[in-house]
Amino acid sequence: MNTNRILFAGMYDSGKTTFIAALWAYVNSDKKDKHLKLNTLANSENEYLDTIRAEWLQCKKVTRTNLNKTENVKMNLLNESNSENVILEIPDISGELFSNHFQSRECTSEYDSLVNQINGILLFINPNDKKNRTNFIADSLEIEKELGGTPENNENVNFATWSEEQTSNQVKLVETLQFIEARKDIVTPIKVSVIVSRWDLIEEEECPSPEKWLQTNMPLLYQYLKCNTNYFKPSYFGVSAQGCDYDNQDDIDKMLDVEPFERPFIRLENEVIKDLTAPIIWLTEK
Amino acid sequence: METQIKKICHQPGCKILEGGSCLESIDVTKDECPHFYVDNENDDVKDDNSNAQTKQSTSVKLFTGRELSFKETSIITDRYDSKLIAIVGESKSGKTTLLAEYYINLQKQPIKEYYFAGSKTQTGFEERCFYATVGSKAKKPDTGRTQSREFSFLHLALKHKDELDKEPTHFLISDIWGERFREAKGSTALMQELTILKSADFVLFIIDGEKIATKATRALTIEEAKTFIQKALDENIFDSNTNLKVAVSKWDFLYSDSSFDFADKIERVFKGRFESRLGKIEFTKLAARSENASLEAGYGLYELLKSWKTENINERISDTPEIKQSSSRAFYKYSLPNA
Repeated sequence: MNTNRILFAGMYDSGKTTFIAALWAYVNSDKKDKHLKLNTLANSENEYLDTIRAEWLQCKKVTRTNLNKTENVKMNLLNESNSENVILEIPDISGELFSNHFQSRECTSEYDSLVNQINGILLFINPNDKKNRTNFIADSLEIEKELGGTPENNENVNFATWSEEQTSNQVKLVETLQFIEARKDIVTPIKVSVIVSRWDLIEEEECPSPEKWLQTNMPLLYQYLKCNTNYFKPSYFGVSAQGCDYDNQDDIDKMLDVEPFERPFIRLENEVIKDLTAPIIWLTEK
Repeated sequence: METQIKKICHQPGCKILEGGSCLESIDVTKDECPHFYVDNENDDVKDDNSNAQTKQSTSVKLFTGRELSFKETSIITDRYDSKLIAIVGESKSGKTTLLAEYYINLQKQPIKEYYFAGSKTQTGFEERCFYATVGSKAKKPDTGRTQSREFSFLHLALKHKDELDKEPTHFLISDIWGERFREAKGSTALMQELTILKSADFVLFIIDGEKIATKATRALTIEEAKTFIQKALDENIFDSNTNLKVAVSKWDFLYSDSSFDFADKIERVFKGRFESRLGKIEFTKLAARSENASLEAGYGLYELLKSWKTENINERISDTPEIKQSSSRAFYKYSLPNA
């Protein structure tokens, strides 16, 4: 039996809870040829998992009820390819907690202990989050100049005051990884599945792969991952765990006609697959 | 009532807080460890505040992310080979802007072949970059004035794109209130307080190009720069180990000015006067934020970085200089750019 503790890291609304809900529905489904399937419900507290799955099955936005509480999620699964029992322990940590680490420069001893036990990380990114990178004035001025605007000076400007809240997600995510590197004795590199969520909303012509998306849109984080393969071994996944935009009723109606396990899809470097467990399988492979 | 004293260790990998031993086998009870100190902010926590105590007892301190004092740089220098870069120049000459622009550029893309491999002072960089961001409400990029009288350092780790599997180069780049240099050029005692410059692998001396572009201040600005270097040499702060690069900043103000000859007025003059007494003297032009449409923003930054990255450094002076500062730790305060 293999117990795998996985850290789901990411900022607020980056898709962590939705992924867990979809994953729970997927491993419980009757889909054939799944790599991972439910082994047993015995000895597990699955109320939280069932609650978020219920929302997901109804195509409702999956929400956390308590932003401050870490939900301890445990799935007892079976790997079909080798008949091995796989226990997934995935604490569902709110995105605020990762922001708080950056701001307060401290974490709980529980988080610290978890970091020292993890086998892998799923790093979630919401591609539509405007805070993914900082907007610099010089870039805005370039655009203004092209549109014929005249640059203003800083006289009489009522400046805002700096606070950690204004820091971009890419800087905070680099810090999350640096905190882990600082607190954990890393002998072999930790596998990191980088999940670009809501992939169904990405224009694939502009971003042909999840890795290319990260390189273009969060370059600091991308460079950090490229440079620190002695600590972190990344792989990139574009994930649509919902399968559609929940703000669009027509999309929802279409999605409700589809078998739930057929809704999610994953964009890899060169192909699209329907196996939602792929980022987990990759993490747990020896 | 008993006072709870909370201790902090910022040394990565040190298990002292979890009841283990000090990473460097230092006796922390003798106050000898530069990474371990009492957090006075928590001195007033009382015994009867059990909830607060429980919360604090279960929290683990992470590295601060802020600029490092000279002492604190050992969290980098003890663990990695590193290069110490001292940036010298009077107030508003562009020292902090140079630092900020390196970090801003890395947030957008690698600086040509140099990739961002990490920084233990991201919060320090974020503060320094703030007035260049839309969130500050500034209309044009600016930099808050550094007001600390003590040296502190920003950390940046970089890798060459063809050497991603090798160790990064760790840079520790200084930031300090420019007024310290204006004062030091006229005072032996104040110059002697700048002994950290002796530990630098590279010294970048920045001359304000905007002041050179103004004819009324041109001669004065150049003379004052020469006076500082002369004084630093005569007081043995600079010597034959010093690797000095003289930079004229805000080159966009001078780019189209035919009345100023960089080679004659800067290179020839400074080389002729100081070359024989220094380990090395070189020259460069910088325009971190160009306002001249003909000159690209970031002019000279890559070449400067490349020289730091690729140049071999002399053996670091083994004796740690006596640090004369008013407190055991350096703190920064920022003012608004126009203040």
